Amino acid sequence: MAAVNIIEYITIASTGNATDFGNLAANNQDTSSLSNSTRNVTGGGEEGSGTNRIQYITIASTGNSTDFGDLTENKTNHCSGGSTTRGLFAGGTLPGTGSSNVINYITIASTGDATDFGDCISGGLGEYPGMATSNTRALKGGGGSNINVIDYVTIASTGDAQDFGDLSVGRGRITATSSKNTYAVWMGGSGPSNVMDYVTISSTGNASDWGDLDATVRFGSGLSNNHGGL
Amino acid sequence: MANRNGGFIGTDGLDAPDPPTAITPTVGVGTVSIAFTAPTDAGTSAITGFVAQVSTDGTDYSTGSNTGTSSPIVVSNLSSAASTAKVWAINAYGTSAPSDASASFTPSAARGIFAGGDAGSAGMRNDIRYFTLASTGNTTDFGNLSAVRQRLGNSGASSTRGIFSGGKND
Repeated sequence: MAAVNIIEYITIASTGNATDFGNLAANNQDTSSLSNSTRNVTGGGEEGSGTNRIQYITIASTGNSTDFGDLTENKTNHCSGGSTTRGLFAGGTLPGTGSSNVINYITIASTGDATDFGDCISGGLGEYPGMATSNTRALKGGGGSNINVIDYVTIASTGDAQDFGDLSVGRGRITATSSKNTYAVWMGGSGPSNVMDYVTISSTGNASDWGDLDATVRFGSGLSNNHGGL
Repeated sequence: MANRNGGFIGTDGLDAPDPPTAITPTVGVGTVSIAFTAPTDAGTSAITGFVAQVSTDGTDYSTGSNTGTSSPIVVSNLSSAASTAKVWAINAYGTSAPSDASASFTPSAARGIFAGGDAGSAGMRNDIRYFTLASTGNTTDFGNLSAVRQRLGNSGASSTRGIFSGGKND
């Protein structure tokens, strides 16, 4: 077995194992998700080949995903995040043709196709960066061949990303999460790596050491109960 | 006659408002929403705003603060520690005495989660780890995904539930 269609959930304030929620529309790897307080939206990924499918679930319930619309590209290995109203999908790989520096956005509370937002500053870096957001800013870090670039956009606007600073250690196959309006934290990555490093989202500058994962891990997944979509 | 019982009053202190009453906290993730009742005696000038402040020791109310023009006021970036809150009313002449302290409350902890992944020669993982976002530090065991998985990308969450979608298990 390879890609899976599993959706499962945890109760963040407690500890314990994940519980079955439902299924994606198809087996899907190298996808990426974002949420506000009510919806979780998953976009792109590889379903045998690259897909532009966007699908969503209502977080407080359980059940299978529902069609939302389409990304502008069939992309994989991208990153995602958002504010309470707008979700972004950025960067990634275009299977068979190379990398993408495209940022798409959606309005989370509605349904419909994604719209072009602008370009990542690290265009062509491609594979598996990590995004962390406040209510106003989205930061994308790492990716590709152990890139250390962090760039950012103002979520409520459109336009190309601007330079924010550098990760403490360049790495791809990374993931990220955030403490709303305070910290963006990147975790793991190529190597594999156990590095966790962070920046203060409202400023600009280079990342500092946060702590360590319990093991060296790449291709992990990050979330928080206090990200910019809440 | 207003109950002006001291505190941070203005140069014309007897004209400052009475303190707010009925201070009622409702916790969120790293936040507290503080509801209150505005004083009926606003002094000799209309109330222009309120200040809500949080303390973890009942003495120093500088742990967190925010302002507003009506109830409730949300104070953010709080740690998950037992706390109380007080509210002050402000008019053109100065600031009221502090309200009585609220009942004790503890904001929910802001948590980051890391799940699954590929540990190289150690193989794929189903581990879920968490860390506290209020401070730096290492991760702690949370539980397990239903199966080993990698390549899930960024995941989403509400303030209560975290969602993991798709991925690859070989």
